[in-house]
Amino acid sequence: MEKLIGLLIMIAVGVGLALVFWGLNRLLGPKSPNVVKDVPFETGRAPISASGRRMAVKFYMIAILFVLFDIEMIFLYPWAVVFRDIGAVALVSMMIFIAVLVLGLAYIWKRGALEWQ
Amino acid sequence: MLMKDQLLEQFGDAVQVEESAVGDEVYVVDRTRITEVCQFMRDQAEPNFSILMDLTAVDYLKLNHKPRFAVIYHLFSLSNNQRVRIKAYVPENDPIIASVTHLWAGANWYEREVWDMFGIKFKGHPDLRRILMYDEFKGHPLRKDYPFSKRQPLVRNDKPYIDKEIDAYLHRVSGSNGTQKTIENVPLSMQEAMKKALSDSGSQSETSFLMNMGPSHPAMHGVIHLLLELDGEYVKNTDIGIGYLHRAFEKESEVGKWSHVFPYTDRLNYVSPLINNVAYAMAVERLLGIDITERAKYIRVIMSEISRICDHLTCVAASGMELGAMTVFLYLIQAREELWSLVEEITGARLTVSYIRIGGVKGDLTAGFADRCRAALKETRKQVGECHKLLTRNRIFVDRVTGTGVVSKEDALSYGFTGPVLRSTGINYDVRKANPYLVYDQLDFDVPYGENGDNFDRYLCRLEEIEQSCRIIEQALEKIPKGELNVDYEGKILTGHQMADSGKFGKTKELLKSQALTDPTLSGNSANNRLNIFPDNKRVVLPAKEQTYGSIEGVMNHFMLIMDGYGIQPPPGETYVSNEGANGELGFFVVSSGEDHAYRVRCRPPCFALMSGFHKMLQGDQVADIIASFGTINMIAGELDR
Amino acid sequence: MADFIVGAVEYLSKFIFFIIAVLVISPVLTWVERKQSAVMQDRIGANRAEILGLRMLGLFHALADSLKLFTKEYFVPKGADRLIFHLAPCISIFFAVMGFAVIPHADTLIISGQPVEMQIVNLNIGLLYFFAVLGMAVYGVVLGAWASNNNYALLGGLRASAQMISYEVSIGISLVGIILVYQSVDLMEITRAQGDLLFGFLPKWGIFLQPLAFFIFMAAGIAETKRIPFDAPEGESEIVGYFIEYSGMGFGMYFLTDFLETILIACLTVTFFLGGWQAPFIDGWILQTFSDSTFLGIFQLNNFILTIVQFLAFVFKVCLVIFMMMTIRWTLPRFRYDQIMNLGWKMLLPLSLFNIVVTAIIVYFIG
Repeated sequence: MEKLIGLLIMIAVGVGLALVFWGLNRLLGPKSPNVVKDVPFETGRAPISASGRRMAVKFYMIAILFVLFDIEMIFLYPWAVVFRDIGAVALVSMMIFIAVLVLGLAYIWKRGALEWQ
Repeated sequence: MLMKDQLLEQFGDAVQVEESAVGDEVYVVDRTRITEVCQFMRDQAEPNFSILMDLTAVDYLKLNHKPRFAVIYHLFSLSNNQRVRIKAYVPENDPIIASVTHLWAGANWYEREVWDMFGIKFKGHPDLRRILMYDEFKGHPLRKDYPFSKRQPLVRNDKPYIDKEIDAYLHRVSGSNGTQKTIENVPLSMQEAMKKALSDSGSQSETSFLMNMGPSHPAMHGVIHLLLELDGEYVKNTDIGIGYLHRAFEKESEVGKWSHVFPYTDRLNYVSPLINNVAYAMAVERLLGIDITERAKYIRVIMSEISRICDHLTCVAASGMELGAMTVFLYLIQAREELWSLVEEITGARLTVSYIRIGGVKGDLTAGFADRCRAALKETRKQVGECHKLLTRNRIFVDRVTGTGVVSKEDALSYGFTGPVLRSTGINYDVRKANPYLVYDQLDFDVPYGENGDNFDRYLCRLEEIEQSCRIIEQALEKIPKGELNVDYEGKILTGHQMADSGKFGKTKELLKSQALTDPTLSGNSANNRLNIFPDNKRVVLPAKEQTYGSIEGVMNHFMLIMDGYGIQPPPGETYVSNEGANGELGFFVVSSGEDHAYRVRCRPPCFALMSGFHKMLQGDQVADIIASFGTINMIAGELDR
Repeated sequence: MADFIVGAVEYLSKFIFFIIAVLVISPVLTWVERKQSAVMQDRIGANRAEILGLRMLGLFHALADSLKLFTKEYFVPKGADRLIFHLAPCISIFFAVMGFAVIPHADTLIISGQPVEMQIVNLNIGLLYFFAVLGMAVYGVVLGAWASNNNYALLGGLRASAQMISYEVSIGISLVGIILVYQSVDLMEITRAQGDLLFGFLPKWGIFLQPLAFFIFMAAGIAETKRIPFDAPEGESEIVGYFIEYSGMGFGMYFLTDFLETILIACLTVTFFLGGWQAPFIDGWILQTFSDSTFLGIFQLNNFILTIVQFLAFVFKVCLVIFMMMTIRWTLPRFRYDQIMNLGWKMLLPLSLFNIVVTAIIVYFIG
């Protein structure tokens, strides 16, 4: 518990910093809205397409890939910590695991998921 | 067979030869057969004329010519560097002529400009919208009956123009479908996407959406507006909006005297103003039929090449900076600084030089110029070396510019590209080699050209041209002869004139000392005597300021050149003269009516053709590549919008 | 009273690096960025801001800039999601701050006989905590971009999220090698393990044991901070940035986040690869030279001096890494989005997997 006091202080500092920055600026900054200023800045012309639309599937693919590899990465961590204690079993089993991972990478590479064109 | 015979044989009465006092090859074509003639010229004629260099119009209202308008086509043959001018008269009551956009894609923008400026319609043009003026503008400004001083407000219904767009936008955001944004403002190819965007905001298909880039986008410098149709990060379609920097150069040129146009030409391509000066001076000198002195030619070459180096340095530097390589920018600008100091030393100004005069140049090179120039070239080479280290061998940069902004040979010719952009596709066309002017034929230099027509080739072409220009300057400095600088109207060499305006350098002491003495004959009613006092009233070159302020002859000379109805009066005629600007062929088509001011000055800016084909380069590239391509094109809005 | 002082000193010493990072390094960084680039580009750089005639080489510009940002209008564009628009930069800066919680800036300091770890929170899963924080940092960017109701911001946000999550994979996998070598995910333990010498002269730092991982981590780390050459999400001359609609301190917070993340990545690079707070060769000498007598009532003299030296060593190394990142930033042009993704997925990821395999085999056979 005592350990976490530091963390709590950090959370307080983080929130406080954000609040101070935001609040002070709201307090000190002028407020003079007008129609032209309020329009989203699309480099000099009023936007034609409203944003907030659905985005291309490509970005979804990246998210999926990330989740896949990130989870596998998490598996590697405990293994790496206790690697020396377990020895040969760990080496062989993780080699198989990484081989599967590399195969997966090769597969998505081959299938064009890593083509950003 | 001569071009003339070929045309007469093919088209008979529909083609007439027009005599040109200065030796241009001019044919007058019946307007109903213009497309046939153009097609013949492009495909069958021997040699064939593959490039439409320029397309413009002249309004002959003041010359009482019927029909009133002439649409003018300047064709260029790559195979034997021949130029032909084709004229088609268009009557006032039915200002329509067939479009040649199907023959040359570059005609698209030229015809739009003619429509915008003269109100001549082009039948079969895919997209005849205004181009330089804004949509609300009424009338066609380059018509002779459009008053020079007539102002039109940039606002409609006393509301700021932008309000209309913003109103429409706010309507869309708030859900209702109340848009007044005129859909005709976008090209046909994009109207479908535009309609979609306007009708159901929020639930657009995810395949494409429209986005504005510019006019106040940091990379759209020189101010242009791109309307992009994007598929994710990829560009499907582009509409380029120009005219934000339109200053009515051509209209203004018709009002001032012949020599008053120089300050305006400074502002065309403001990165290399001296080249513009030279091009215009060459055009007027051709009308006058005079040849300038050898020394003045060399000085013009030296100053042009310094300008070209400055232009290329700026272009490479700026495109590097836009790709994130800020350090390269400052290194190259440092080299440019040295060169601009030289320009300042000679011309008295850094940007708005107005240094070239009709018949010569304003002033001689300063003492010790050659050494300082060589030192500056050394610095330039050093900084270009740094640039090679930082960019040319940088994997990130090379990957970014290789294979992006590609333009094929065919497209480049069809759009009338010239300069480094054309050369990057592998077509070795340079006006300095094709139609050598000044003393370029006596100097040894190479014209670099690429093969892929992509951004990297353009970048390398420009860097190599810097090196070649350095070589030209060094040779010119060796070869430059001593002698007089200026010639007069009849081609006689002017003597006894120290042309440099030392007053411009702050040396006003001499000016103060020499007060102008008023000749008694000028006062009172001695008008009859005045004829005897005039020195050479036909003189072309303005006297130096010391002369103007210091001696009565100078005052008179100056006065006569400036006063209404005297000045330089080239004989009636028309001519097209071009030189190699930093971005390509910079042409001036000048029409003289025999008066002391130009009847029409048409500038063929290299950027105009480049920008008209810019959308081709962007197609299929990514948003980030727009910046790279735009950088290597080196668009200068000053000459694009005029 | 004495307890209070001891407690205060304890916490002050734990937080000292964080305080310096936020209050000193990050403002100075804005100055360093300007001044270093100026030196590299043969210019003078910022030198105008003055207080009472004092210019201090332009150091006051950091102050002037922040004052300016505080007094700018903070406006929200039409159609924006107001709550998220306000929240997003706060999220960004919050997680940038939280990252500092696990950075060890010195070894244990003995205060009234009690050993105190020089780390704000001594988490035994420090590495995982760091990844959690890093992962959350994406939210600030994406939400801010999405809430702005602006096409450019959205493009920037998408690029940023794609880039940040892609490189997180590489960062994560490259660090597996470090864990294999040092057998811990506790940052303090990892740093301590780097204290020995290899072959009697080479410090047992990550950079020497895991050179490949170092380069992968550096590259991916710079990508995480979204600095040139990985600044496609900002790309000020291309899409202006995901924070295009933010004004005043809204922008300021993103800006500060950038610098805090730069410091954070530099800290982590130092911790994993440059021996953290280790001051090799002189630490033993300090312990022997100075006595362990009481100092200032609560410290031990030799331990106190050693801690100070370690702290300075850490700060020095961090500054060195930041200097390197700045130099890179002012030398290279920007990657294009697809180049970034290719580098991440086709170069760094396979390389980091390769690194694990090689490391595991070597560790197995050599021990």
